Amino acid sequence: MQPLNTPLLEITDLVVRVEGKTVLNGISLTLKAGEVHAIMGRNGSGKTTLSHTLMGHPKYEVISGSIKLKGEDIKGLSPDERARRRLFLGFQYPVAIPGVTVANFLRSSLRAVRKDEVPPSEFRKLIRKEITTLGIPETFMTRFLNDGFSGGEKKRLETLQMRLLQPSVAVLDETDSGLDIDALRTVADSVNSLRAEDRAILLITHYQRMLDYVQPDHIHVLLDGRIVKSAGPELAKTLEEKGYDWLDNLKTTPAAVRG
Amino acid sequence: MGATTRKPSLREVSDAAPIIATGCTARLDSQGDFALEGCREMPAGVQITNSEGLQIRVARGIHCTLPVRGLYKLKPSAKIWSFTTVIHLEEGSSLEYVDEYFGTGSTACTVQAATRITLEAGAKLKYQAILQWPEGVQSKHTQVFNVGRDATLEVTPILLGGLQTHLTTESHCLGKGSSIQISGAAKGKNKQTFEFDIITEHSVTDTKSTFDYLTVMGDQSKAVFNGLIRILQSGARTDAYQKSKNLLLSPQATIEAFPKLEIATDDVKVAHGASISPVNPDQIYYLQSRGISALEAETMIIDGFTEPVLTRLTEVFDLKSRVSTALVGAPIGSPREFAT
Repeated sequence: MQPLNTPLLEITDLVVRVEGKTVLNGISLTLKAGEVHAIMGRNGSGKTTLSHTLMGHPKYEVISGSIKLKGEDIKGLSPDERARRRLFLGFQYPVAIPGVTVANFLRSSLRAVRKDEVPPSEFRKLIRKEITTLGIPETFMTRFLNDGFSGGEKKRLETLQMRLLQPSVAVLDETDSGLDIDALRTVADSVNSLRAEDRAILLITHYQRMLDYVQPDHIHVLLDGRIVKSAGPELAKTLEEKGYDWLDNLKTTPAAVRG
Repeated sequence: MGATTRKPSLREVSDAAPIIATGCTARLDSQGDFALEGCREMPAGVQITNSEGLQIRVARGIHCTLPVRGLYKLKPSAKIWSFTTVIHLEEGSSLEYVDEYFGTGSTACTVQAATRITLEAGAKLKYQAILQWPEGVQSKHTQVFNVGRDATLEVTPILLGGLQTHLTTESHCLGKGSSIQISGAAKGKNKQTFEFDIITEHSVTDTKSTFDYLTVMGDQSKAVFNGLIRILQSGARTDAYQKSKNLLLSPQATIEAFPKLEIATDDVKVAHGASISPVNPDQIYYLQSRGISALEAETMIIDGFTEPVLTRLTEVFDLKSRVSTALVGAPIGSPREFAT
C-alpha cells in the first residue's frame, strides 16, 4: 500500500500534439494517494486529449514533458503496459466489439491486469458481487461488448471494469455523460466507494453535476490546453454560476505563477 | 384381389419419427482407403457408402441426434484427387453432417471436389464443410444444393487452407416453402487465394435464402466474391439476401466483392451488400487499455468477427474449438482419427 500523500500520478510540463496540432500546452498536475481531482473545461479545451495521452493512445504524440505513474515514467509504454501498472481510463465513448462477450472480455482483462489466471469460481463470485452493487442484470455478461448498449449501460460497464480492476490511478473521462439521475447516483456511489488511501482518481467532466455527488479535493480548469485555475471544491460552484468566460484572460499565465 | 400397401403420410412418419444417434465418422483417403469409425455398423435408416466419394442417405422419417462426419485425407503422394460427396435426405428426415478436408505436408496437388445435396420434402440438414488443404493444394469445389418443399438446409463452409481455392455454390429452392441458409467463413494468409461463385436460384413461391460470408484476410492473401440471387418469374414471395463482411489484417491483402441480382418478378424481398474494413484500431486500443496485449486484442476481435459463424458449428468431434483456434491463426490440427 502507498503511504498517504505519495504522488501516484505526476504530470510535468506535458505538451501533446494531435494530427499536427498542439492540443496540450504544458500541463503539470500531481495526484497523491487518497486524492480525488477534477478537471473541468469547455468542449475542445483538451480534457479528452489529456485522458487518452495518459492511457497512451498512439494518435496523441507527447512532444515534451513527463508522465510518472508511481514514480515510473510511462511515456514510452503501450496502453496495455500502463493498464497492467494499474492505470485505468473510463472512456467517454466506450468502443463496441461485436462477437466478444462481456464475460470473456472482463475475464481476459482481469487476467491481464492481475498477470495471473482467475479461477472461474472466483471470477463468478466477483462478478456477481459487483453487478449486484451496480444494479447490472446478469444477462449483461452474455451480451457483446458495448454492442447495442445504451449510453447509461456503457457507463455502468465502465464503472464495473474500474471496480474489478482496482486501479492505482483511475481517470474517468465524462463518466457522467449519458446517465440519468439514478444511474449518475449509482456511478457516483461507486466512485466514492473506490476512494482509498492507495488510490487516486481524476474526474474529467464537463458539468458540475457529477461533483454534487463526488466531492473532489482539488478542481482544475483546463482552457486551450493549459490549466488556468486550480482550487478547492468550491470552484465548482463558481464555475456553475459564472461559466468559463471570466477565466479567459488567465489563459496565457501559467497557473503556477498565479499561485 | 391382392392387398395394396399404402405409403404412410409424412405426418404419420413424423409422429412415429424414429430417432437415432450416430456420431459416426466415415474416412476416406486419396488412395481409396475407406473405413467407418465410431460405430460398428450404421444404424438402420442411415447409409454411408464409398464410390469415389462418400454417399450418405437417410431414410424417410429418420432423425439423427448426433452428427455424421466424413473425413477426406489427402496423402502426400497424391498429384490429383477427384471425389464427390452425395447427401440425400428422404422425406421428413433430419441430419447434421460434417465434412473435413485436410492433408499433411505441403503437397502440390489438384483437388476437384463436388458435393451434391438433395433434400426431399420436409427434410432438414445442417451441413458443415471444413476445408483445410495443405498449403500447396489448388482445389476446385462445386456444391449443388436442391431443396424440396418445406425442407431446410443450413450450410456452414469454413475455408482455411490450400494455395488456391475456388468454391462454386449453386443453391436451388425447388419446393414451395423451402429454405437455404449459408453462413461461412474464410481465413487467408501468405499468398492464399479464395474465389467464390455463389448462385442462389428461386424458382417457386414462398422460398427463403440467406447467405452470409465472413472473411479475414492477412498477409498477401486475396478473396473474390461473385454473388448472384436469381429469382425466376415463378418465384413470387421470395425472401433472399446475400451479404459478405470482410476484415483486412494487412495492407497487402485484397478483397473484391461483386453482388448481383436478377429478378424476374415483383412481390419479393431481396437485399444484398458487402463491407470491407481493416481491424478497427480503436477496438485494439480499448482492449489494450484493459491490460490486453495488442496481439491478444487482435485475436479477440477476429474471434468476435467470426463468432456468428462459429456458433453454427457442432461441438461434437471437438469441431467448434478446433475451427475457432484455426480462425485466429493457429493450425486446426488433424482430427484424431488420422493421427497416424
